Amino acid sequence: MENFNKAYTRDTLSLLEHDPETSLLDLGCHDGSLTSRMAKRVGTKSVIGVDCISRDCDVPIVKANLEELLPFPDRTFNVVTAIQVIEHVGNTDGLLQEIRRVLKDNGYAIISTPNLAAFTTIGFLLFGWQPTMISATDWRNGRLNSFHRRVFTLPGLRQALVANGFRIEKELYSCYYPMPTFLSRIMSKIDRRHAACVTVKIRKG
Amino acid sequence: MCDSENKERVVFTGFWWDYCTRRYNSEYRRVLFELLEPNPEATYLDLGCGDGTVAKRVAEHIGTDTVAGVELSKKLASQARRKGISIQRRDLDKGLPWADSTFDVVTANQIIEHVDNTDLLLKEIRRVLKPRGYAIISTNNLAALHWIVLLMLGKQPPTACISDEMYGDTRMHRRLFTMPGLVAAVRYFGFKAEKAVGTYYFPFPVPIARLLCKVDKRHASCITLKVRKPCTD
Repeated sequence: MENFNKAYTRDTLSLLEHDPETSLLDLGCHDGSLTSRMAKRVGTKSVIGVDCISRDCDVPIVKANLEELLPFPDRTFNVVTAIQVIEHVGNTDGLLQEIRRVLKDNGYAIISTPNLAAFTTIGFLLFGWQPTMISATDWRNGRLNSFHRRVFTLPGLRQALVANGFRIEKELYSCYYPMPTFLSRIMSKIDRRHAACVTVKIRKG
Repeated sequence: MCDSENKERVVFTGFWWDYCTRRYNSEYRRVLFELLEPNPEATYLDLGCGDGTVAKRVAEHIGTDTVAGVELSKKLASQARRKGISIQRRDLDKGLPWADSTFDVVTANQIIEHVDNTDLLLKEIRRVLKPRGYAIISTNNLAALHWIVLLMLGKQPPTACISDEMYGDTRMHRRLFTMPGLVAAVRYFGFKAEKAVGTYYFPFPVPIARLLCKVDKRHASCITLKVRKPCTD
């Protein structure tokens, strides 16, 4: 089966534009491995990561809570990325407004999130089970883990982005579970509404 | 930020939808009343009690006069206070102000899905309950038949709200539960899940909905759980 992490990494990297003058902000950068790959792809040295926990990171990191305001002035970045982050934030509108605020006028953002209408999730629900992408508690295997607060389907995500003043430029879909990789790639194109991973490129509209 | 076009699309209306919503409310309340145990000595707490109408009816069914409630909205809290409920205005994400083992009965109807910190809420319910006390928790079922149909069409089910702002800045659903998910969560926090009931089936009329709930409760529109705090801690 297609690896979820590899799929969104590939989709995200393919949406980035090469431009060495660009400044890049990665929200929820974790250990910075994806952030540095994105920076390399864009060809820039001007990159900042944001995360709620300070940890060893491959890129300069700013500690901030994404539920609150971002500690950057207006129109600072050309590119903002939020990869597998928006579903963890309760204050979705606040986050989108903040992304919009810190973006330069010609800037773009890339948002990647799992799809609630994924084929496997529907399968789980048909059995009446709790889908793995929507945890009933923050406790997992005895560890506290901030889990998904909001879950999106394609039309839902589009609506949230448009309502917060973005124009959707490109959408990529991958991981049509439980198909094997080559079928998954084909199915994600034919029936994109049920692919497990959605990555969108948006611009200030 | 959101224009009228977007507002129209997120708010479901129409005759049949309104009918179903009313039946949804009346059916989960009917089941709630059925699950109560008469006990004139009982102390009762309703979380997110609104204007207190349902809390008063629950108290009548239990046969008690000692009713406490938590409600964040100032207007609703003062309406409930006028009904004789001792109200604490409080955000449920910040815990409960009562001492351990205070209540015999706690109800949380259509509340747990709006709370950010589900774990804290469940822990706090357990803390304020007396040993052998019980809680009744009801919430919207993500595995409800009509939501599955919407997901099959690739649409966003309104229960999985995409924004608070579009719905007028009230705090909308933050978590979604299915019956096995909620049962696992309450067990994790040390409750005994005594009864799990499904109520109402969108978009059917009540007699058919009741039959379907008996046959297949996992896809009912609403989940109601009766959970008990074990006597040995």
